[in-house]
Amino acid sequence: MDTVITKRERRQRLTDDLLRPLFHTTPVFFLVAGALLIPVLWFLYVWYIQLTQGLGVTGLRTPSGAAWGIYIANFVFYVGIAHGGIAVAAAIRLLKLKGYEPIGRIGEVLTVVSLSMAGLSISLDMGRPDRLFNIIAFWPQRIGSSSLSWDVTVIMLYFSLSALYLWLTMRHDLAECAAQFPRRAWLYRPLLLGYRPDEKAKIDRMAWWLSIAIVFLIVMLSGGVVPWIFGLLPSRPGWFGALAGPYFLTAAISSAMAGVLVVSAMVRGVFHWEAHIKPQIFRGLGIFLGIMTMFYLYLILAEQLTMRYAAPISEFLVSEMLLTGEFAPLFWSMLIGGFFLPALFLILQAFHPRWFGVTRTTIAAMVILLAFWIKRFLIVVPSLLRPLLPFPEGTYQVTWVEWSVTAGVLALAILMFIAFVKLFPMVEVSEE
Amino acid sequence: MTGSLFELAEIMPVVNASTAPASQTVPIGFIVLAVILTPVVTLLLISMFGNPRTFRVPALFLGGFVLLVGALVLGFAALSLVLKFFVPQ
Repeated sequence: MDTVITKRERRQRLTDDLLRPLFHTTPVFFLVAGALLIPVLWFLYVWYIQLTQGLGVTGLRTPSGAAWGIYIANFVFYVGIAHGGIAVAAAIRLLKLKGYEPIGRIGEVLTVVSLSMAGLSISLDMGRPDRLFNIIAFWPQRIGSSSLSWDVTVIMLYFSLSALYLWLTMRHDLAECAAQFPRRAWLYRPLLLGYRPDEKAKIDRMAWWLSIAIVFLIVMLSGGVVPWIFGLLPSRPGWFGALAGPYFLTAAISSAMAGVLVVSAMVRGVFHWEAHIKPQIFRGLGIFLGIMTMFYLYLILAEQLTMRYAAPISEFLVSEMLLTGEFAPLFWSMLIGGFFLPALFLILQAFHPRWFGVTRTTIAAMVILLAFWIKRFLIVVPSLLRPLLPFPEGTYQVTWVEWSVTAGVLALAILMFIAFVKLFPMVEVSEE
Repeated sequence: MTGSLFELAEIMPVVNASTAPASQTVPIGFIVLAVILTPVVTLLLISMFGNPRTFRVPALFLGGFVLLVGALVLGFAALSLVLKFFVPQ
């Protein structure tokens, strides 16, 4: 009879297991946090140099050269990741994908963190970031015609809705945390303002409708206002085109799926949550990621074909830069090694289940994620080096300042994520 | 061949970047925002009403939304202010 575990005991064990990261901190955590703090502090120092000496310390140049470089590539990359994270959570709720529920919150947190880094990346790219508030101050005058103003508006809305979605769906677990860890009540109580145990039904209904609103915003942001920053500019070859929306949206969803997959695998491995985050989740996400990446390859083909036929000559020249010119090694490595082979491997797993493995799928997702960052770089830079205006062709050399900033921002994102893991439940306790 | 094409491109007529926006007879930004915001606001309203009929959670949600947007705007202002000390004026 001793071996019979009651439902209550089982639930208590599950709760203890899922809340373990909150009350059990190993020295490895402090080591990792300390290691991440170093690039973050270095980034702050380098940003100080950039602020006081100007963007001249970077490789960004105008009118001849690239006025946008890896900061904008980072911005598009983080915005993309921000979409899939919450898209996964929204899809789980809308389509009632019970098996995927353990990674829902991971996606939601990834969204909030990535969107913060996207905003930071824009500030880093500005020559006069002290004029940042002008975006708000002159909003009424600019909103009629400026795609940048649309972008800021929709990103702020998206950030607010995503953060509130995370907060709403977390309240029940926060009540559990407040009960279990009275010492941290100062953190949980303000977030539990007006909490009642019977509010879950209302929250579930609100979260369901909010999921639709968020999915719609994802389409309008990653397939709308962000690509329109590029697609509505006729002065840059390679950017002006109606395909920009679907092109960016596919990249956003694919890279975000890859991001969620990689982060989920890390969380699963670090906290030994193999029983909660099951391999089927990785298999399903992996196959979907493979299909989306293949579709993205089709869009690249469609874009390159258009650029090389009837398009203006400047478009052809940008295509030449990518296919046979100075960016060709990067482009072809990305295309074959970064997209095609990992995507093919992920799709083949659907037909050969024995080929599947969580580690293999995670590595393929990491490669695809890296390839999507390279793609964002190749969207931004070559077009800027080939001006339509009568300026000589420029060059772009990423400086140590930009690499330091990029590393620091990534470290900051990871630091924010692990801080969240230590303070809040990462897997929905109530759903387990 | 590419080299000569590059030279050719230098003398190609420059696309007038201002042509498209100038030809807009309506402030297209408002249409864009309406297309984006109308469904979102409608969905938010639907999420708040309906069973179970309690307005406590929707009120908290709306309060949180206002607070968050306010915090973002203030954050923009604060960051701009702080950066003024570093950027040479």
